[in-house]
Amino acid sequence: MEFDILLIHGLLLLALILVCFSVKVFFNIMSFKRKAHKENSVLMKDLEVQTQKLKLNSQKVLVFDNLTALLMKRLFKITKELLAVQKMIFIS
Amino acid sequence: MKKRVLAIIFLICNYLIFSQNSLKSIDSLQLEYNSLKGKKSKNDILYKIGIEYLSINLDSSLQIFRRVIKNSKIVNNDTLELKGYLGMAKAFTDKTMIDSADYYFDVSEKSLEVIKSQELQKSLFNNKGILLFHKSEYNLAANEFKKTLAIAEKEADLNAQSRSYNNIAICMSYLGKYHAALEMHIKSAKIAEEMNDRIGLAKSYNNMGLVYKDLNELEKADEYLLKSLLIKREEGNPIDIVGSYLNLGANQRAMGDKLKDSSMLFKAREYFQEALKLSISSGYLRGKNNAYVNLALVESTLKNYESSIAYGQKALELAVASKDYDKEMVARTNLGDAYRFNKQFNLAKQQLLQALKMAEESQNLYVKKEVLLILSLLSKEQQNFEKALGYYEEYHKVNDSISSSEVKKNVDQLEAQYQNELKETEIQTQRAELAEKELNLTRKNTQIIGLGILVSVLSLLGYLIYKQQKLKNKQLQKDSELKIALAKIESQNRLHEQRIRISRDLHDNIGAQLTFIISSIENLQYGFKIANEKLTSKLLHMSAFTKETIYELRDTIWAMNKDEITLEDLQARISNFIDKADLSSQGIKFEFNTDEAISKDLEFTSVKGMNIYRILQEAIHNAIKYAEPSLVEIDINKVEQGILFKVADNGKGFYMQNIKQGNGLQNMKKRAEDIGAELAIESNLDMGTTISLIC
Repeated sequence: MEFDILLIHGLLLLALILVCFSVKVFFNIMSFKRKAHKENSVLMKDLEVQTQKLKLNSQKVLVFDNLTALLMKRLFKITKELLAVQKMIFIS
Repeated sequence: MKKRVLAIIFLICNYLIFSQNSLKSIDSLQLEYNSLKGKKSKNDILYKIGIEYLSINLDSSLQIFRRVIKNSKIVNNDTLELKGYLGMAKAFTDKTMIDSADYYFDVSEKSLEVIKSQELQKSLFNNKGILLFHKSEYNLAANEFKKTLAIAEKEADLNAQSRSYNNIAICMSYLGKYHAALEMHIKSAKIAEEMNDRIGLAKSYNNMGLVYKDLNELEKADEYLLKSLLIKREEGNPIDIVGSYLNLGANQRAMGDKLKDSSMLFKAREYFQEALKLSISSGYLRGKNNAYVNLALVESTLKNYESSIAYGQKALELAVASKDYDKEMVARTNLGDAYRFNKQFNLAKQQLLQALKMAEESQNLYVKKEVLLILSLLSKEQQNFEKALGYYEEYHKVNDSISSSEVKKNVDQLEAQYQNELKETEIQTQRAELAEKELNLTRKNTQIIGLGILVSVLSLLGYLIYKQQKLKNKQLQKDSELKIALAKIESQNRLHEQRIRISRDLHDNIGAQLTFIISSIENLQYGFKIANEKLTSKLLHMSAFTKETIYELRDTIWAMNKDEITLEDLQARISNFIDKADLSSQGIKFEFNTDEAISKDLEFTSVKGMNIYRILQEAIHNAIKYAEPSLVEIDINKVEQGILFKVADNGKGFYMQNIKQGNGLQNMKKRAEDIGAELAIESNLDMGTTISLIC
């Protein structure tokens, strides 16, 4: 009889402990979700900034590439003109 | 014997309305009866008269109840007929005619099965209890009173509850269960207190006193009897007061006997005399009779035999007058004994023989035994030893018979009690087993519920842990993906930044070379004084081309060195360009206007800012070069879609369809497209040209 009572009390105590543990796990999940959301937000923000930066840099690279091509083209033209002037000077 | 008589008086007293009040009631009821005409109503009154007669004259009462039954049968009134039977049973009970009472109780019980009246059932149980009490079947009597109590409790009838407790208590006293009896009396007293029933409370105190007397706790008995007397005196009912005086007197007499204290006997005499006085003044016959009997006894104990004889004679007269057979028998016995003490042997013999005859007739063994003993003593005192021996032997025979009948009765009672207890034990055992089974069942249920709860909680916990783990994995994966993406973008950014840096170095280098080329051309031009016009023109062209390239390089570097270009920066740059254009072109007026509503801090990306500048530069350049205008207006305004940059001239204009779009216009369109802006060109011949850029 005493064993029965002990068993019932033991079961109820165990159930109570498990309930407490469950509550703790539940709150842990909640806290983890909040933390994860915060971390993800920071990372997303960084990613956005970097993406923006990449876009800008890509445009800049393009502009610079175009400018380099233009400059090369013009340098070539100037060189050609200079060679023509040199030729003219030697002839005259 | 005396105890038995007293108890019966108490039982009856609980129900009977005392004779004096009854007489008055009977008179008024008879008047009412005579005035009524309906048979049915008359019968009701007749029944009430019968009830009143119960406390005065049992024979009259029986006659009346017989008439009630007869009349009820005629008018088919079953309830009143049943009441009549109950009345008959009660009257026979009071007359101690057991068999007749039994018969009428059986008839009443059968009728009650049909009528089913709680009130009459209560009355039946109660009166049956009284009958069983008369038959000395105290256990059964107590059971009947308990049934009455159950109905009274159900009906919340406190009066009946109090009465039932009292009756059960008296039965308990007779069963020797004095403590149980006291408990019942206390309950009865509590109810009386609750109801503020002073008389009920007094009766309970009185009964408790009698129980203490039975327990031989005479001082305590005296205390309770006195309490009862005080209350009764306050209430002023002489019959109740007489009862208390008689009980107090009897208790004092018992105390005097016990302690051999004559002062207590005197006190007892005082009580009995008070009782007598009050009985006489209030016309209470039964009280008067009892007082005489007790006074005779106490005087006899005090050895005042003449007084004892006088009181005995009066008691006898009253008993004869009231045709009370039992009392007459007892009175004759007591009187005979008193005569014996007073040496009036003939008178003593006469009374005792009469009492003996009556005892034999009524088969009252107790009185017979007493009478035989006194007769034996009397014969002995008269020196008639043979007769004395004869009476004594007879006395022993009666005594043995009483003893054997008592023993039998006791054995029967014990047997019944044993059987009852056996049954009760069996019931208790069964109940205990049942309770144990229920307990086991409850325990098992509790265990199952406990296990169920445990499993549920475990499942919940498992689910929560699984969810937590899943969330962690998901978060880890997402985190890792984001970090990888970030690292990739950062790496690309670094690569782009490196390319930009290299480009800048290269552009710086080219810028320096271009500056050197200009300087070289100017040295050649002015240092060698070249006369060849063609060569001079070529050199000037080269110098202008190189300068233009440098300007273009500078403009681009200006834009690319900044991450953001504000409207103010752009405005300043455009303004600077217009100033230069104004200097280089004759007869063209330039007007540059900016909408005040636009914030100066408005920012564009470096690429966007540079492209806007280039488009405006190209538009102004085209106006100067092809339109021959007198006025070129450059406006920056805020519009619904964004910011509007407008270059308008009043030059010669052109038909859009006739114009072959050259590099300049194509470049403008391409740049606008690159920065996601809208470019619109409006022109008509001699109507000027307007170029609008909305971004």
